[in-house]
Amino acid sequence: MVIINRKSFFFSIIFLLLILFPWIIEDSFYLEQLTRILILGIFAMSLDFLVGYTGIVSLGHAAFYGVGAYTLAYSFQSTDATNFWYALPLSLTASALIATIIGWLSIRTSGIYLLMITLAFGQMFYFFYLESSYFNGSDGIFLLNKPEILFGSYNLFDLENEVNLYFFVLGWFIIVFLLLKTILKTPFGQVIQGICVNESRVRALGYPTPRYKLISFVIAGTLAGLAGFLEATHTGFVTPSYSHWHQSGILLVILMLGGVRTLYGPVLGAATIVLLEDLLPEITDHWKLLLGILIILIVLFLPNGTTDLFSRILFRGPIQKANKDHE
Amino acid sequence: MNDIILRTEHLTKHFGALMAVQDVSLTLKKNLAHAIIGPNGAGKTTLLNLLSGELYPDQGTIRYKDQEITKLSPDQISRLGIGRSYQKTNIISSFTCFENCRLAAQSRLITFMDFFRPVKRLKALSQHAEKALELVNLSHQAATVAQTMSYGEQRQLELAMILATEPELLLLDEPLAGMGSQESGQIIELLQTLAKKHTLILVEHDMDAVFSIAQQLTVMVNGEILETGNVEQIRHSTAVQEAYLGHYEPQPHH
Repeated sequence: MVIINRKSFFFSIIFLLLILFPWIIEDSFYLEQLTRILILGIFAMSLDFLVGYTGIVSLGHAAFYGVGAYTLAYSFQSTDATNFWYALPLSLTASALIATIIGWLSIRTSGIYLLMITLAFGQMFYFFYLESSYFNGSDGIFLLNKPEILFGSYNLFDLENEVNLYFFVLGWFIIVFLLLKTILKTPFGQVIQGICVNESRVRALGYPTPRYKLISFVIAGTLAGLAGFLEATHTGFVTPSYSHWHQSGILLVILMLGGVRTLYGPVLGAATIVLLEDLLPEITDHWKLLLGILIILIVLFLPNGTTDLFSRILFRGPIQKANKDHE
Repeated sequence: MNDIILRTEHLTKHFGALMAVQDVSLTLKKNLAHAIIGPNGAGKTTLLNLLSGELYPDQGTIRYKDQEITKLSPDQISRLGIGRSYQKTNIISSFTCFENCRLAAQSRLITFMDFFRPVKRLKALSQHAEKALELVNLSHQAATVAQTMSYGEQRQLELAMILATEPELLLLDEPLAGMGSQESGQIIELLQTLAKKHTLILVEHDMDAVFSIAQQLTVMVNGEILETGNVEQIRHSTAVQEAYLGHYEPQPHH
């Protein structure tokens, strides 16, 4: 129990630091980077829910990221301002709908076929945006303003202010983290974790497993849509590359870097990637080569990702093992 | 007629040219332990797979109580009250024993698609899970992660999981395989108790166990039923002795 308490103590410290961050470091560059990490973190947690906890490895997760972003761009089409209370539900509904369709068609396969079919769907969306004149093709769409969080006619929380935007993203980050943590502890969460290990057994216990997998797929897809919405709000720029398979691929790398099946591991992975992409180009022009070598080293020596390093330093042993000893 | 729980008619399944199960018609009475014996490759496991919905027959029908279940999926069949154990241990290896049983018990909840209430708060589930573990003598291992236990204990756990779903009919595929003599003694005792209130279909090679649990036996050879009868009839059947016991030694038990 001591270790679990230490863990939650540690998480509280992290959350406190995140909340105080704008006052600790007043450099807007770092605030910007942290906002990026949190958005990528939401995106990565949603994939971890699918890959780490349900056992569905998808190479097309960026499809929903793109749907979330493009739906926001769509709600800007006729005006130069959009109402958050209308735009977000629209983005989430669209991603959920697309996730239902893609999920329904994908989850009946597994292994390499599942990878291929999700990859194909992801690329289908990429090429759709690329070729579509409505969405401005490869040039993408600039969003001149941020969505307005209106209360009556009063803008409740001005997202043009980058500190406000940071807190807006942080709020969603905490919501998503707690939501997924909660779901995993519920009866539904128990079933999908069982499916992840041994689907046929769970099915023989009386659970219609395809339905559970589909719901899990839709939850993950909707949260990826949320991440896309936030990223579009943050950068003010939507391009087909949101849905490119490279985006899905990098996300899987982030999961491996951070460690699947932990929720916070992928966030660490996201931070690692963002920071490395930032630091390495200062050392050499061939920084991608360096990044690749680093990724290989991390995967070789830290099989559970940077989470391992993190818990080794903090708890003097992998977290999972420590938990087991205390049960 | 009401004491008949399961009836198969002309059940047939082939894999290519191989007749795995051929024209099997069985009638099972309620609360009776029914053993299916026969040499390896006789089609016993395939028959169980047909009954539990893992495979669909090419021909024939299966009726459970008053309902035809021939084309139902494994989860539908399980929810009707048919529990299944496998020849190869089939558990959630990364869950603890308790979590395995709780997941099993949870499948009988009407509201099992529950997104916001922690499963820990559902007290009835924990009680069911603990009761099931107690039945197979695994209470002391409740907090142990399943994959770290011995093979025999994992088999016991699988049995506990099935019991936690409170089935009426149990399909057991070699429940004693791989168990030590002490463990299998306990399980035989448990199966004898279960047989009083449940219907059992037991596939097992350990003949002593079969004779001490089952009241009715079916001998299968090459996918077909050779003979069905009570223990005494089968012991003295010349057809069975010739076709099965005659040139096929019963496996020595450990």
